[in-house]
Amino acid sequence: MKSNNPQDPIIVCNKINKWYGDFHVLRDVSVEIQQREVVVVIGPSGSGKSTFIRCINRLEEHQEGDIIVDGIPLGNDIRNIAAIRSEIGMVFQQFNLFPHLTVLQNITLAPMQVRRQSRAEAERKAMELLERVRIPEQANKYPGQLSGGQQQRVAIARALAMEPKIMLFDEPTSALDPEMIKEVLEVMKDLARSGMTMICVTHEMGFAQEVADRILFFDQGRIVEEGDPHTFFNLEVEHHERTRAFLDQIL
Amino acid sequence: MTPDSYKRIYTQDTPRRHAPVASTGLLGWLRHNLFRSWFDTILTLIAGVLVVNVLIGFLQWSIADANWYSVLRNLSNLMIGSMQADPAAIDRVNLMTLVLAFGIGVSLRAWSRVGLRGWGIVALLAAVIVAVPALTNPLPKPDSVIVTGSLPVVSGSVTETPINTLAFIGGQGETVSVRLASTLTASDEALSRPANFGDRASDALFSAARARLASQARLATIEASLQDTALPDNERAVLTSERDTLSAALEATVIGTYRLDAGGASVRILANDGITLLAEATLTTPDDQLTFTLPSSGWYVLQNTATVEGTNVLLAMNGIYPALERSFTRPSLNPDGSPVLDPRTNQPRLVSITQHARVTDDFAIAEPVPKLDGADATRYLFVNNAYRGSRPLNDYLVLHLGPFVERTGRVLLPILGLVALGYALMQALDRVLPPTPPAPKLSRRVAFWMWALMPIVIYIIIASTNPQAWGGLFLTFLLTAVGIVVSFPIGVLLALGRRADDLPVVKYFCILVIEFVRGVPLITVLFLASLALPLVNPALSEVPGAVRAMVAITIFSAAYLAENVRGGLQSIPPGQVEAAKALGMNPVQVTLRITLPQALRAVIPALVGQCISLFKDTSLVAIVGLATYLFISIVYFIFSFVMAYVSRKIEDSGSGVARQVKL
Repeated sequence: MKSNNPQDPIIVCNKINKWYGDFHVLRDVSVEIQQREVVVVIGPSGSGKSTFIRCINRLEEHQEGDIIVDGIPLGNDIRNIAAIRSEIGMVFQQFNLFPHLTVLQNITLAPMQVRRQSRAEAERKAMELLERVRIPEQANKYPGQLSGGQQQRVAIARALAMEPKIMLFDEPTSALDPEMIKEVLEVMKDLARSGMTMICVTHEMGFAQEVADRILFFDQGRIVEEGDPHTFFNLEVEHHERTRAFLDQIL
Repeated sequence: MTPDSYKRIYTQDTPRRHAPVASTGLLGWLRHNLFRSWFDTILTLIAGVLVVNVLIGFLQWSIADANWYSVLRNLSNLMIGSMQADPAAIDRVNLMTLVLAFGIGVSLRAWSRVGLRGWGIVALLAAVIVAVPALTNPLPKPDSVIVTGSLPVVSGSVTETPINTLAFIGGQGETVSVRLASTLTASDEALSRPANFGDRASDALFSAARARLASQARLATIEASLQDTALPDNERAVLTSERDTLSAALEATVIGTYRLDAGGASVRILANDGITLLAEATLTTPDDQLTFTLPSSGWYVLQNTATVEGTNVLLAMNGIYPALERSFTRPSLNPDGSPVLDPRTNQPRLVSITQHARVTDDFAIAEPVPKLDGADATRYLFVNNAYRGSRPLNDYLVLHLGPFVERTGRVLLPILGLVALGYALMQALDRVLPPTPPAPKLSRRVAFWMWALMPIVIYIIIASTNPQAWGGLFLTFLLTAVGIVVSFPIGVLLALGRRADDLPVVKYFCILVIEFVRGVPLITVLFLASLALPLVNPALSEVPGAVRAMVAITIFSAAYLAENVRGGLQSIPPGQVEAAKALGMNPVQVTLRITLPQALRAVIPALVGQCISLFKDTSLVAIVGLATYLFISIVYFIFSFVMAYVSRKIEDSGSGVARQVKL
């Protein structure tokens, strides 16, 4: 809202620190993300990558440092939290669709409740989004009747229905069968091509190589390396020892 | 063997077939559920034998021996308690019932669909209600038997005097007949097996006959044993002395002792003044009969005299049946039907009414009992003239099943009709004004508003009735409905409050309320509401007891509901709240749209259980007033609190739900 200049970063994280009890999960994490940028966050499990993106829309509270999203500082001010959340869509590993609502109701609920859209408008938008994620025929089913891949695509449509400027993906394909991963990744690639600002925590290295503008590598709560995918995945160049160990495991 | 490159392609397609017959349909169901393994088969057979035995036993008991009179006579008492004394109140309760039935019909159409099978069941029910009384009413009713004469009847330690004058009730146009009970007096054998209403003296005769037959049988056994030459002498002596005692007492038959076949009786039917003679006859042969058609409804007097001095006569009456005496108070009514008001209190003046109602049907009169020689005549009452012997099927049908179905049918048929009417109207409405697809059916909207307004409508209907007189099933339903409807929102709020970690004051207040109420027995809360509150504030004693009981039950039920709902809230995965929050929904929206709907669905069984126990607990309202419970409740509180504490510990230990989500 405040930053209409496309050169300004849409997300600024400055030295975020977070503890679970006495355990230091995020240590001085600083990163700036530009509009339309696709950032892929990778790293071993327990390295704090999920915690990091959950801090960006305040599902987790950070104790030190600043997070500024689209010019709005994220703190304890409830109005700021609400404003930031309405700019950020999020997709979860476990889909988290609302099982008591149909696919259509899942998608229209937030636009009607939060954006105060009319039912007709919300439903028209929802059908458009379902076309976009290629499952319009499932609109009146319940989530339990869909396959995992279909559920995750509904989840993406649900997040997009709020017309967010930023999308967060928290391991969106980790709970899927191999044949369903592809259909979800296709939707995510479409989204990236359309110019959405995206932060993805994922283990899909193919996706990272193909789509990412930048890779962030987390280890033990810190960003130990970042770079463009071509350089990052190149074993010939110099890497941080942790990165090299990680790359040796997966490549 | 295995080559490096191995491949096999299966081209032959296996055609799809039906499932084996034995795995589908009735056969499949039986196999799957009753005879799955040899163990299941044994269990099924054992259970089958048990069920069949219990069923046969129950049917035999229910037909031959069970005393259904209390159910049959007290139906309206069971339904509406002492309100039955007030015709205006009955009308209002009936109206309320019909309104509710209509509402149920509307809702059935709005939220569900009654298929062909459903209507078939309804039609079957209606057919049974109409057909059973129609089939059983023409069946002959059993006789009423009394002993007339001068010899007191002795059986065991009881001595019963014969009845010579008897006041009975009857309706206009009914035919009564009196004859000699010659089938019973044919032999002791016949006398020992009655199947009729009988007075105490006749019952003594029946017992005496049974006792005599038993002695005879015993004698025969003894004689047979004495034939045995191998019998030891000491046993022989015992048996011989028993034989001598028995045979000494067995000199005469019961019929002979009371000279039941010695002569007849003269029988007279008098009007209720005990003087005016309406009909008379002398009965000497089995064919003789006094038959009389009653000219009007009311009391009549039957006067019998044995024609031979020193004999007893067993009379069988048809059309004359024992009555039950009922007393209650009802508002005194002016000739125009309005209640007579007491000038001092401005309350309706109550009068006490004594009614006599025949046990065989619902004929009842409130006229005073005839006076004979200045005293009330001996009335033909059920307490002294119960059904004697074991009932044959015919008597069960005509005395119990038929009247029961007829009386409940009188209530059920209008209810079924109103349900069908509500359904049909809504069906027509939906057909005439079909909804445009996204909008819900019109009937659903009608049903919603109807139930929203229903409490007001019901309040208007029953507000003018006297709460002190509320009782029976009516009161139970009222307490339950109010308890559920009012306690539900309170319970949900308490549950949400208890989970509000950000608002410690609210949280601990909710915990206090829930744990206090859960800690004491319902009877104590009722007791406090009915007895202790008026002592604290006399103004509260103006509030009717039923209303105070309602408040008490509501609070009680809310506390339990709160715990159930909280259990449901805990079962919602944290991801649900996260997803909703990530979509920008505020805590109220998250609760109302996401967590609560899911939580309530998850705890439906517990909620239903709560409603059922609330329904049953309302019976406790009847015994409010036992002071000792106040002390006992302290003991209850301690134990309940310990149980709640343990449950909290188990929840906290993580075996319940992984982690709680803060909104």
